[in-house]
Amino acid sequence: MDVEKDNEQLPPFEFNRKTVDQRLIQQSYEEISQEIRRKRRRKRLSQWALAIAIFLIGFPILYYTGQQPVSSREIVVQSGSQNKQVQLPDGSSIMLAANSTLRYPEHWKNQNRRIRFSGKGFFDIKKLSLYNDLQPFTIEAEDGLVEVLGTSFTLDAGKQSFLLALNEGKVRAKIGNDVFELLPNQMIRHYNGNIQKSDINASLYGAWRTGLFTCNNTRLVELIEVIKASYNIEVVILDPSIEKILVNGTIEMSDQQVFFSTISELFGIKTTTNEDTVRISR
Amino acid sequence: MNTNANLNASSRSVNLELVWKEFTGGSEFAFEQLHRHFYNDLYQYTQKIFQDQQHSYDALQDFFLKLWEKRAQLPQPTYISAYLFRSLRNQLLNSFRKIDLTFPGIDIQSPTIGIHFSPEDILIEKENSKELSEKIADALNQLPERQRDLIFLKFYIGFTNEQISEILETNTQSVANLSHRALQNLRSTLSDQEFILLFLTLASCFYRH
Repeated sequence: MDVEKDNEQLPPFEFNRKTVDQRLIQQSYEEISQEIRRKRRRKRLSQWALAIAIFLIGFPILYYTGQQPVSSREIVVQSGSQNKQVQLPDGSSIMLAANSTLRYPEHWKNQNRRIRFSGKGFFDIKKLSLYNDLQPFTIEAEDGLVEVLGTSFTLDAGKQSFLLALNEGKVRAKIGNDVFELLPNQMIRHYNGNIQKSDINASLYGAWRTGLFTCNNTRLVELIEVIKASYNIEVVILDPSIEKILVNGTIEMSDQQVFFSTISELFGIKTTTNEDTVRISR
Repeated sequence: MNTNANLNASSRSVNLELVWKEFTGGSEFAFEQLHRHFYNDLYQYTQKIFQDQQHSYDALQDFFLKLWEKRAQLPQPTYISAYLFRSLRNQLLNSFRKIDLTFPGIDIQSPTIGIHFSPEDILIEKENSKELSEKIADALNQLPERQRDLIFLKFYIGFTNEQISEILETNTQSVANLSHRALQNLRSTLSDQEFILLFLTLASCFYRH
């Protein structure tokens, strides 16, 4: 039985009570019941593992790799030695640079777009919405997490480094415990233990796709910054007049040595390489 | 006996106490019934707090999964609806304590439940009522957080003072005082003219029925 209606005044208005779409309720329960079944399977699996472990007593070491059982299969795309264009089920496209790997679930879910990535790629992520709400797209990399709604950007994420240069839209990147929000023409870079956010010309960071910098009164030092971040090298400019040099036309950039010899020839400067440091002088 | 007859989600009659008992005993079917029965109200509440559908959806998914996992330890509450609201409320408060920057504007030190009303929430059956709806939503949003919480639970969801006292973990008298204060505050924020307008619209609704 309900408690008696409280003997009180009512507010001078009524609430417009909304009801949630039945499909959302259904979707919610389907996901919950899938999760329940997944956990049960995992539990059963670990019970089996325990049984096998008991069976194996007598062996000196029980080696556990710590890898979670994968509940659904993954599709793995590797680019090999060349750039490779990949189309995802939601219409997003990714241009993988050589030696990059992309993994995504075989059972793709638009409401939980999540991929794993290592290497370098140009991402063009489609904006999707469900019940008028934007569906995020998450990229897991070795060194960080990138969450986007619908944007394009270059991501270079190896084991030791992380570079994200945003062309369009808005992204949120999580590196360790730090969260960064990026706007177009901003870059976040994690290298050598330092995390740095800076303003950049994002189109230059996408130049690797064609292997050419397309310049229109672009400062040479801007190109050098891109080369530095792309190949993880140090560049020391010994003559300040070099900083004034402007570049027009296209310059090869798919190979750092080719890049440096091209600019040496074009602008009459000297470049010397010593381990990971390039020195530029007149 | 349906202890939650005033909840707007359920038009079907469900023997909730039995459903709850079966659910705590491990029945997935009963769990689905509970989910279907309470989802809407819990969602409206969460949505008013996050003002974001994805976050609300995710938080509720989390809530229901935890509920399922803890089923064996759950008590048989007097009011199942109030019990669920209290658990959800506590879970949200807990998650705010751990949150990073996902929800800007939430004070991490002492998190509270910040209900936010929008003009579309206010029903006024009269033309040109948009401005008035905005004023009322505004007046509601100016109330202290606890009073807003109460207004929502009491007048949107339809909980009784006793149920609210369980949700807010206080006693019935303080809930009555809180609701009295909330209504007084509203009265003083809205101008006389607005009040008369409201009175007329309400009276006309009343007359029509």
